[in-house]
Amino acid sequence: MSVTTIVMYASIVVGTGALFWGYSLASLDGPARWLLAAGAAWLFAQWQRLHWAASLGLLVFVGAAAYGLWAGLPASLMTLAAVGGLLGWDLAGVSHRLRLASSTDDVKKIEQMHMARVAVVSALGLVLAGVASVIRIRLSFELAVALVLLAGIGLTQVVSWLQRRGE
Amino acid sequence: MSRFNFLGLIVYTLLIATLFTLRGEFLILAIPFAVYLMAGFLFAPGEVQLEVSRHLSAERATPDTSVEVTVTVTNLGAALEEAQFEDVVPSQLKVLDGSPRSLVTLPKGGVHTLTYSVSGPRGGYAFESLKVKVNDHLAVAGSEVQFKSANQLFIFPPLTHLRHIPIRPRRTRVYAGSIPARAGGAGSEFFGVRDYQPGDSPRSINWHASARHEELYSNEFQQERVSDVGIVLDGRLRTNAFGRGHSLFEYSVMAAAALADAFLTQGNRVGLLLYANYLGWTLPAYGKVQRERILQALARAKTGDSQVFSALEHIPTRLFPPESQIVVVSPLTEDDVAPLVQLRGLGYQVMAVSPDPISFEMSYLPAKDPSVQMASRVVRMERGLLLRKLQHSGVQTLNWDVSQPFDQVVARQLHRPLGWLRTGR
Repeated sequence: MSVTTIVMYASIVVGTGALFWGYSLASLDGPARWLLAAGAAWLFAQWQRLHWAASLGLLVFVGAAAYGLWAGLPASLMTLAAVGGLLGWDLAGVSHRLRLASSTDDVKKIEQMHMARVAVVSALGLVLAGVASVIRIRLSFELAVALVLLAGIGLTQVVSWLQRRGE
Repeated sequence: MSRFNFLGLIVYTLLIATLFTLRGEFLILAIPFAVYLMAGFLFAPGEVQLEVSRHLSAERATPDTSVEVTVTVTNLGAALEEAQFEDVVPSQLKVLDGSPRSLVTLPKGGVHTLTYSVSGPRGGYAFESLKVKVNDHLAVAGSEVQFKSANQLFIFPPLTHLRHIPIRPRRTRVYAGSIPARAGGAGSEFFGVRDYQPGDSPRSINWHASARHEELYSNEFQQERVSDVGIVLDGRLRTNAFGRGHSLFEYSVMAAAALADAFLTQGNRVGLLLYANYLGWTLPAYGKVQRERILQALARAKTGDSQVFSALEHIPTRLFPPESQIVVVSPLTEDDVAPLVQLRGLGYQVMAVSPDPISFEMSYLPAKDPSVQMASRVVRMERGLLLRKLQHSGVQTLNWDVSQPFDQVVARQLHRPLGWLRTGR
């Protein structure tokens, strides 16, 4: 089993664990068990090499983390779960791409370079999220307007992409 | 959906959730995803500039022999973090060794070589392009490009070398060859006796005739010249296809290749007509180049069905010079007798080389089954009658049991003295 696969399974386990722990802390045992089952299903799907399962898994993790935040569950655990999901999704994509390599390709080199980059990106994401959760700022009107504009631009991009796809 | 769009959708959903709920926690959740996206953009690959060349160890091969394909990619642009190459292999070819795909990190000026070997059935195969997919390590931004690099691989039918094939068309060409030309001159076969003419070699004097008539007579020999030979390959599905996916066409192609090779080696001008759902015509010519053209046409030949060409009566006779030799390679059906006799009537010398469909079908049917035995006896009689009809009409026939080597069958059946041909019918 390659390093990528091991880290991918570990990330999904960490993400599932964080969600389960966070939900259990708020005595939401029913949803916690469902999330545990979802994590196990994702692991099983990865084992069966079902490529589409990673995107679905990430959506479930992000959705559960967002709901957890809305319900007032610990932000650190929810962010950890989302980052775990992101890592699992990313590494599932890598292992899918590596499967297309031939036996003579230097797969280890690609794997190492990818692991180094994703580790830096995840760490940076976690640190920034941690810093953002410590430094609490009230959303000013201007910032809110800026966010609305950003969201508007994003939505425009999404709509134009959907239109291009439909043509 | 691309990875970029998928992550972008998550980030914007979280942003919108922040705005609607006015809760900063959703923004915090979006941060790792935004960092991931930004890192992807930061290391996004630039314009892909590659030089692609492909080399085949052989451009002509025989079925199921291995051909090594080497694709060399040189990176003329910026370094590529992840480049996935896929050489587009024609679907009928089988990859035996190595892989036509590769995933590499290619530095600026770097060279990557992809080596694999393929084999396949008879055919003409085009290698056209190399698919290249490049992206950063996070695969957020990337592009897919196809680089053209054309090569052709011909897998020719197995070629059986035949010895001299005796044919006797009424009309020959002017060049010296090996076919008796029905005209006196220099040659090896006795043709007749004529009055002695000054300049005749004393060796050519026929002393018996001269003694009897008290005048000098000379022996005359038959000129040997080259001829026009048109090979008609029957590619009709209804005559070639049999039950359980079996087909006689490969044998017909093999026979046509061997005959074309033999006729060209004898110095004749040979053309090939593929008679299937269309007419595939290879113009007649001489020599090695023509041999190559015919083999390429045979490599590409396929069976097909068409209402227009369902019977041999639509063979375009204007393609063949008058009174030349036509060789029809076909399993033959009852309907084919009349068109072949008609060709003979038009003055062509016709030879029918027929892979035997009955022995072919019997090779995979249960031979001990009484009903199969009975059916085979009936169809064998029918076929015997068909071949006899053709022979009586002056069509030279060769019935080929495909379980036996073609060269042996040709040697056995065609090298007999062709008494009926000598009469000049």
